[in-house]
Amino acid sequence: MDLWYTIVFTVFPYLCLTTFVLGHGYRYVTDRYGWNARSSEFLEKKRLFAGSVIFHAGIILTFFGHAGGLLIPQRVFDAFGIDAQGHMAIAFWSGLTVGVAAFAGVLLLGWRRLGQPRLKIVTTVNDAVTLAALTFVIGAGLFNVVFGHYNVLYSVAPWIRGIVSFTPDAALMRGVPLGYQIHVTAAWALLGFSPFSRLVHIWSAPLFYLLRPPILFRRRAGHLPPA
Amino acid sequence: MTDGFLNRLRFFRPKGPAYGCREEKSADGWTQTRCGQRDWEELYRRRWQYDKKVRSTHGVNCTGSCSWDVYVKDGILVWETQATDYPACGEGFPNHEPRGCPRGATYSWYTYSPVRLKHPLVRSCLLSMWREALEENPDPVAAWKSIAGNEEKRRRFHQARGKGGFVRVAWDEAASLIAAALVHTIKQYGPDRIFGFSPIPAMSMVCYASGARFLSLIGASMLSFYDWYCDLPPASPQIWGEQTDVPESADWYESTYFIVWGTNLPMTRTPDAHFYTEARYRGARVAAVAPDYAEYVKFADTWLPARAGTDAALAMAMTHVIVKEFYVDRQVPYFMDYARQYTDLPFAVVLESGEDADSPGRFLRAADLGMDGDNTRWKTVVYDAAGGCFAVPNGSIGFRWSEEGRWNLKLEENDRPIDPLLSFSDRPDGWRTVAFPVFAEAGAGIKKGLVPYKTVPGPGGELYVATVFDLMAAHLGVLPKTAPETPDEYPADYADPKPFTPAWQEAVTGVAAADAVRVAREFAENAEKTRGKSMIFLGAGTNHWFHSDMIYRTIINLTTLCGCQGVNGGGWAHYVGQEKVRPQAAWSQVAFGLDWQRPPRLQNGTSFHYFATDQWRYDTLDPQTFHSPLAGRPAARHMADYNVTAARLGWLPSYPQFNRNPVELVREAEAAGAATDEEITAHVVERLKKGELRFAVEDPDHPANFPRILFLWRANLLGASGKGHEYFLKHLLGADHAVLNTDGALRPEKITWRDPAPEGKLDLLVTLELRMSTSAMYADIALPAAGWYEMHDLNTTDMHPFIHPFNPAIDPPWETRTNWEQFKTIAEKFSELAADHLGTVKDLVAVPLMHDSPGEIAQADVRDWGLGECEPVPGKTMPNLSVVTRDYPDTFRKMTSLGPLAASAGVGSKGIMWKAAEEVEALKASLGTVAEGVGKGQPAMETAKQAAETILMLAPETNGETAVKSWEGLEKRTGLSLRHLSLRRQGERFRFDDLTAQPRKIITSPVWSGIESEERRYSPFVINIEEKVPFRTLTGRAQFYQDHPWMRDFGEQLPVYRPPLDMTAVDPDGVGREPEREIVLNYLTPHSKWSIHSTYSDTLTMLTLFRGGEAIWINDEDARKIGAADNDWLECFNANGVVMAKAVVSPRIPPGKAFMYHAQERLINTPGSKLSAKRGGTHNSVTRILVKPTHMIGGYAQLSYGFNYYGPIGAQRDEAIIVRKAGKVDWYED
Repeated sequence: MDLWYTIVFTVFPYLCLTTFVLGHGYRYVTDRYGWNARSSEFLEKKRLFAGSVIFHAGIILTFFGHAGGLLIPQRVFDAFGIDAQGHMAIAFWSGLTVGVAAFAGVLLLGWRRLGQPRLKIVTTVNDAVTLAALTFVIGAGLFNVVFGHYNVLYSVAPWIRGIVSFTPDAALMRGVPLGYQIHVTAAWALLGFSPFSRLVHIWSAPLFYLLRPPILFRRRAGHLPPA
Repeated sequence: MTDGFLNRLRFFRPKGPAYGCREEKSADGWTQTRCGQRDWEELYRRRWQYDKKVRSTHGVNCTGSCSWDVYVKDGILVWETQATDYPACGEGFPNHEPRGCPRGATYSWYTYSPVRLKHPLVRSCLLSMWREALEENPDPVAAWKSIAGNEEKRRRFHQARGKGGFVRVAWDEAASLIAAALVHTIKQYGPDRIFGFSPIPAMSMVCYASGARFLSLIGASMLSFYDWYCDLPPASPQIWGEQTDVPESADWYESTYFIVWGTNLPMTRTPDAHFYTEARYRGARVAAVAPDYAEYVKFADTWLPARAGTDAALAMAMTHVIVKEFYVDRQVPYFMDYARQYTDLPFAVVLESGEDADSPGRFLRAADLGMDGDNTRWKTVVYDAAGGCFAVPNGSIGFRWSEEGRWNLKLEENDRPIDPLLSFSDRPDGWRTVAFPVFAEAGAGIKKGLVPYKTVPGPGGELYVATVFDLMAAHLGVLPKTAPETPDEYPADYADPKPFTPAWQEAVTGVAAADAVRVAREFAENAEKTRGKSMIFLGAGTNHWFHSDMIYRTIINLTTLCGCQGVNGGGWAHYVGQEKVRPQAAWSQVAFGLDWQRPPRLQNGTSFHYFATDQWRYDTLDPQTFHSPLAGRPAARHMADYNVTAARLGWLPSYPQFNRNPVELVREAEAAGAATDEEITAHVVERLKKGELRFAVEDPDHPANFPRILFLWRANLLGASGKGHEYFLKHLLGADHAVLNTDGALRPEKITWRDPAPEGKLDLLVTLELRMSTSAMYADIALPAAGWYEMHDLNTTDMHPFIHPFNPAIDPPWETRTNWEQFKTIAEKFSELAADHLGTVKDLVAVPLMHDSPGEIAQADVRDWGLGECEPVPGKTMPNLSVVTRDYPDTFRKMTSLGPLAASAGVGSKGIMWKAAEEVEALKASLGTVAEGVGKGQPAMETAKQAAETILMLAPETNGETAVKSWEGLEKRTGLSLRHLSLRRQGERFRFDDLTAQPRKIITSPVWSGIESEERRYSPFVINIEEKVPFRTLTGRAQFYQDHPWMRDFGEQLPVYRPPLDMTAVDPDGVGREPEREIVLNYLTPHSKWSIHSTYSDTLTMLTLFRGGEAIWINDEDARKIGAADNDWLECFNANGVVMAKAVVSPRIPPGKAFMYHAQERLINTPGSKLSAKRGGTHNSVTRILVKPTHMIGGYAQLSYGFNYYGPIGAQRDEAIIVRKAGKVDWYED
């Protein structure tokens, strides 16, 4: 049993994280031209709008919600006057909103893609797997919010912090409801898979673009420094 | 290091003074200079990098003749771009470049496309019969005989035509089959049962020559195309004695008044259309005549929306205005001087007495005046105002063929200056009433006019004569000021709706009378002010009609009357196909094997197809309805009768020749004791006279007279030009067809009628094509051809004075071969078999009386030896007969070397010949000579490039020495000094590689009537006008009047309006009609925007730009009548067949018309038709060949035969179709 927990909640996450990091590097070097969002907007624009906007709004906010909510220890929140209960309440309501958005969005996207012959025919297996994985992970997450009613602050959150700080403790995940265990495991799997999917476009979000001067002149750089 | 992985990351980009790049912000932080991160540019750089660039062009019939750079990358042909290094047009002129259109830009797609033929293919059922036959008898000729001679076997593979089942074979096997069939046919039936069809040599001269040379050497016949395509304007030979000569597009810029009349310049002259825009910016005024708001109309200041096919009426009204206002009310000196010197207007015509009026007869001749001398029956007469008597001026055709050196347009008689009188109205001997025929939709009628005449005493008694001008004025209804009375028939003014006033034409054409008057005046006034710079553009829209010659003659009235012809920026500009083979004389030497044997057999296409596909049997046009009400004798029973007469009298070529193998005929003559050629021909004449030997055309449905083998290359006869497509399938090929017609009611008098009509005349159909076109689909053998980026060849056009090379960017891929190599392969096999089976034979060749030869003054009267009206004399009253020796085993060697006749007998065209001894010597040095055999010591012509070099060397247009030399013959005949026209470029000579380095302008030569130089653009007939070289006509001038008896019988001696034909009479056989769901529309087939005829129509890019498959445009009101919406499938049919097409509904189309842009083929998106229970046909499934007897005239000055010069035309726009919604269509996919 311990071994099982260790494997699922320590070994597996690190495997996925390693794959995540190295996989992205490998993908960047060998498949520059394939590093894109594989957008099907050109083929069908109208119905894409609804699904895409709702999904992306939902999932991006979900990401920040997870990052902020799980990686920051509760005592920091306490310092700001948000106690555990308040934290969970915020998590519940905001999570419900963005989770529903993400879930509804991904369902709309999936339905759109499979319902149109033009899009179906250009959908690769990879696209289908990615979509299915997203739907599952988001669906599981939303299930947890709606039906879970579990306080993750003292189990799942510190466990995740342990992973990223290289002080893993699989035992923290004992007693966590199955729904949450499934969600986190599926999420790790999706992370590990993402470098090889269209999800690499996440890392191409043009954030620096927001900060750069409007007009750029690009000089050719000299090849080698003079001797 | 800077290129490595890390440096792609933004943080690690190379920057700083060490790399010579400092990053800094500027302009208040609005801009920044950054370093590196430009690797993405490699994508674009690599995208457009290439390994090899080669200059070539497109061998397609578009007149573009654009020089293209073709690119190869990694051994793959990737794309093409327009060349932009053309020589400039001269000071103040826009240049020709860049040239190239969207269609041409898609050509590279063909190279590796699924439609490309890659290997030789044979119909599988034929192949299995062939292999079986060979097992029984290894002699290929016997094997072929066992198949072709067996009715059941023939029918089996005939019916497989068009049904797939192609099997790949090796080149050797395909060549053996073809060679065996050729040998057998020559043995059994004769070489004149073998035919080749390839159009438009100008687009790829060597490719054309490949097959033409081989076939000419073996005695087979090439079929003409210019007349068959209905692009030949018969009016051009009729008026000027010239096939077609038109200005280059840069010359448009010189013009200040355009009438664009039936040619859609932006659509069909894509690379030239910019001159149309530029001329307007320069100040030219434009009038456009079109039934619809076509692309060219949007450039115009005035749109004259004349109903399709009625253009001659508008032109007659304009002529009326011009004659009245610029010749009668007022005399414009420039027009009058021009008319006196360069037209037949002052020439005297005999008035023939009639019941209550005279009718215009023949030209007065020197013989009528009792004069002595050569050819007095061929010298025409004017009245000399200065001398007060009739005179015979220089320049008429009698002078061309005498040795007097007076064949010129100087206004002289025997070196004495004369002043021809244009009109007798100032000093007539009297006035007479003359009757003229007029034609309307309701039928033919007569109108009368008052004509001043003079009396001519002569050996035959007194003759009354009038000038052509006075006859024309009377015909037009313009009364001279000195007329003694005003007869009622004459219109009171322009608003009086009598022929041929502006008000009269309004009722016919729909064009407002005021507009017709205004444009006519503007046109003439502009010509008056600029001395002739008014231009009229013409094309298929005015030419593809049964009476196109009348349409053109009436329109050309305007340019001739206003002195526009032979002037830069003025005259006609008829643009259709790519007709101008600039090095024509040199090319024809190579193409027809004239360097080894003469004469070749050259057949006029329309007559050939009319009889070969049995469309003559369905002809319902009754000649009597076309006859003039004033004709002296009755019409023939059937149009085909006229063709038989024409063949018998030597007016038209007729192959197959006689109902006997011409080789056998010679053997028979020799067996009967004939030893010399004269005795052989005398023997043949005797048999003809007795009626023992007959012309094949008198019995075209007898198996002995069938055409047996047809080669198609660079041609899509079945998919593009074959009028009566379904009849081709039924009678010529014996394949499945959709003919919904039965034999017509008329029966010819001179042709044996056989029932039932034969199906499947042709033994073997071979195509040599790049792609699986409709023609290849029906072939027995489809041989794969190399593309235009894979060969050496030459290309010229009417539109510009350059000559372009084809160069190979890659080798022909798979098993494709260039046409030159393909025919060499066949020739080699043929020569092998011929050694055993044929040997050297003598062939009796019958050739018509040719234009530009003494034969054109053979028949001053029409006398038929077949009716006993005269003796049959070859070259005089019947075709020329000659005995040609054919060394069949030497065919391959002759094909691949230049023969001795170029030096000994000479090179030439249009009656101008010179000997090419120096050129041949130069070729021996540059090409090398043949080591052994019949061509030993002669220049080698093994490769296509050597053939191209030969043409360039022999041609005055590309060899300055030859140019200067070639004027000599003409100088002698005309007594003029002409070589100065080429002297400036005497030292120039173009080799093939020179053309590859840069496009070159051709050199002025006597073969062409325009001058090309640094200062001047090419305009036709400039040499005639400026240097006084005559037009090659009866009078030596541009002729308004055509006096041949057949012309007068059909009422066409003067230009006159003839309405379009009514083709609605014939009911499709066995079709249940539903008048409420149907509409009958006049069927027009203009040229497409998304293809050049059938080429490019199936490239992916072109298909995506429009409907992708057959489409037909109809008016929205008409569509509503049959409940059709845009993109619905329509079933379009008549008695000739069915075509399925998608509806394109547009208010641009005039009501009552359907526009099916032609040559969409039956390959892409072709569903089945319920009517025919077969797949829909091509655009030609609903057309049928119609022939006009006046186009068959021969032996009469300009009305004499020349290959692609004169002959019946393949008109189609008079046709009507029934259109209805098809409903749900069946794709036959189960």
